[in-house]
Amino acid sequence: MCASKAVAHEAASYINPVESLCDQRRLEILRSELPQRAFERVLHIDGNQGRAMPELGASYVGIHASGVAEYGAESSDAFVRRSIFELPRILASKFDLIMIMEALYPKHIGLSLPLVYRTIDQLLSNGGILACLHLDSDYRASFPFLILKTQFHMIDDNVERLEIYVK
Amino acid sequence: MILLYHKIFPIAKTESWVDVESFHRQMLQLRRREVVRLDEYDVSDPSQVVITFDDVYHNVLEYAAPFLYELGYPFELFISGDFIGGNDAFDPMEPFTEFATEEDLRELIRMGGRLQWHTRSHPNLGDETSPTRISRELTIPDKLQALDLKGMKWFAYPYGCFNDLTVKEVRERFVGAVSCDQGNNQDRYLLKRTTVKNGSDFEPYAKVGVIIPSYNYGMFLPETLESVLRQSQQPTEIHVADDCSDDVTEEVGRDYANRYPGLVQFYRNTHNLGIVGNFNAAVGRTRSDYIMILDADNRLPGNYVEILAGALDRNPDAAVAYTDFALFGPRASLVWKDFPQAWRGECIEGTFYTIRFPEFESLDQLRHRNFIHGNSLYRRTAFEQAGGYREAAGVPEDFDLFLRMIALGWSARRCAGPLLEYRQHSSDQAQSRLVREEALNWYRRRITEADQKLAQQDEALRQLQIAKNRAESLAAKRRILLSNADQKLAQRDEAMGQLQIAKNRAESLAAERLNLLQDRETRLRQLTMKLTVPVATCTDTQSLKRLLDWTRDLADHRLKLLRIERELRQQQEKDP
Repeated sequence: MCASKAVAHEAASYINPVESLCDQRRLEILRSELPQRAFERVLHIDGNQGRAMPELGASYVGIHASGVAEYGAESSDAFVRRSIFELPRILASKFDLIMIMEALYPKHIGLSLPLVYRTIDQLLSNGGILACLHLDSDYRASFPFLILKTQFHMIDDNVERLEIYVK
Repeated sequence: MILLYHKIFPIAKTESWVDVESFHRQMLQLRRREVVRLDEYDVSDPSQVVITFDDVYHNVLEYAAPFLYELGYPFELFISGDFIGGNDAFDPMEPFTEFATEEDLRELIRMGGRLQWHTRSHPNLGDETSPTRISRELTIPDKLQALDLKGMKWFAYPYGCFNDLTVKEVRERFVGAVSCDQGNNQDRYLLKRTTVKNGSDFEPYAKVGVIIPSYNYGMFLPETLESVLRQSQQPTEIHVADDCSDDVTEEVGRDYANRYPGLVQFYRNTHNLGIVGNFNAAVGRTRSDYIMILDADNRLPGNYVEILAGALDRNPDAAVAYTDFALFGPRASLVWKDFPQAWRGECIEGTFYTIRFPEFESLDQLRHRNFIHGNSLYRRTAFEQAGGYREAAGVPEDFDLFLRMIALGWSARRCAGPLLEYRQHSSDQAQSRLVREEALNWYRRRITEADQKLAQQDEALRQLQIAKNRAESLAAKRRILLSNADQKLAQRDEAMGQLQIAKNRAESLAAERLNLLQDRETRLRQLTMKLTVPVATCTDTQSLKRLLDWTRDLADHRLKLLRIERELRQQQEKDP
């Protein structure tokens, strides 16, 4: 997958159109808690089935984070299914908003948080916003950025942790 | 020490794989050592380390090289020429993995790698006796040699195996060679390497201890503790030092100590010691090389410990590593304005007011105005030399400590960037013990855990009730079985009685039979004797009559005997 192809797919079809009530609630929470500013480039990394939010930025890239077991595997849908660690190579420029939703569990990244931090740092522009929404019980990341908000929400009987960082 | 790695990946699939977090931890542990290339390696210097990778897979570029590059560590890449750009599908024992391509190798060289030779096809050279084949395996194709003109001077024996012939050939072509455990540290052509696994640690490395003193800041503790627990370099020990608070500090501290045994420790003073007393007592309970006092209401970004510990590792003359910080909270903008104009950084998102401290230059500069905040990381040795914290009139205890350290000849090292989130309360909020989101989540978790425990206890009770019902049912069944057994025993006794009678009868019949048999034998003997008298001699009627009587008697006895035998048979058939 070359960078130009990835960029050409911006604002294109994303992940899976299936959207549950929980997905809707997550997106509403995210929209309401993000800093009110116009984002130019948005990267959305999702470990689940979700829905695109191209309205959040002038350009929008959606990535379905693949599981560790799938790293390097051939896929018929090479654009949407990627490991987080590949992204700096296939995405040409930086983003001013990165949203990571349920993509930082061990099944997606194994034991590699220090490299995740560096990867996201490469992708996020200075002053950019990073929003992470995950099940609190399964989430153990702490990015090397200032943390604007930490909130906890009950979604589908689970406590989900929303963190919003600024670089 | 020469380290041997093979594959680095987010998960360790077999023993020869090391996961990314373990590799990162191991690389941080080498910061106080001198990581050198094989060309510079001095076996007699225990502070030197060489990092080597055998076979060189693509995952080395993806998951290991970013850390090596960031830390500035050189590394050696032992390639097998035939494998470049291929994969290890030929090895059914190993999960499928791709080898580095030539492009990968170029990128690795750019990041600090150096190519070295590991044969063409990775044969076991311990078994090889053909000079032709050995020569072929040791010959480096020009194309590969051209990839790294500074490299290909060192050789690694596949599987660490060698024989005299192989070593002789290697000596003629290379400046040195490495093996594995089979090697030694005397022969430059048989250097030993340490195979690294996930759990490997490289002692001695500096341990970091974090102390979180709290006096009635229990509501902030969960957020602060979580920020320490999620550090990219985890501290070796975390101490919550409760200076006799009357809020939830003890409850929170003990909860975390229970959840992270061996890592988080809670200690509660029996009476309030004050700041200096509490700090000194807490430091006395730690054993780490580097110490940090973290205010219970501040927060650390995920790389705080890694950055500061790295600064002390690389600067042995520095007693303390300090950072810039970002003020936040209701009074942040007011406090920010109190700092010199030159130190004031930007305001971020209307929330954070950053302070950029100057680089440390001299004791006088520090005396003029403090720029080393109290949550800096300092060296235990310097702390002990300076005599610890002390009460100093008009001077904060941490500033006083750092001044005395510097006065002893130590230096200080700044880590640029707002790495500490420094909370500024309004006085009202400080007194009302703000309930923070993280604290609410801590309570929520406690409630959830309590609910789970209750549910578990309910389930245990339900299981107990089921077990009790089952036990009662079994007891009833047992009673019935016992009753049945009693009846069976009575029947058995009755049967035994009948059996005894039958046995007695059988014995009686047997005795009678024996008598009859004896009688029959006697009579047969008598008859035989009689029959020996010639019948012709029995001329008189009387004799003939007697003979006929005997014969009749004999027939009677026989019949009787037959009857007895029949009875015995019947008896046996009836009661075997």
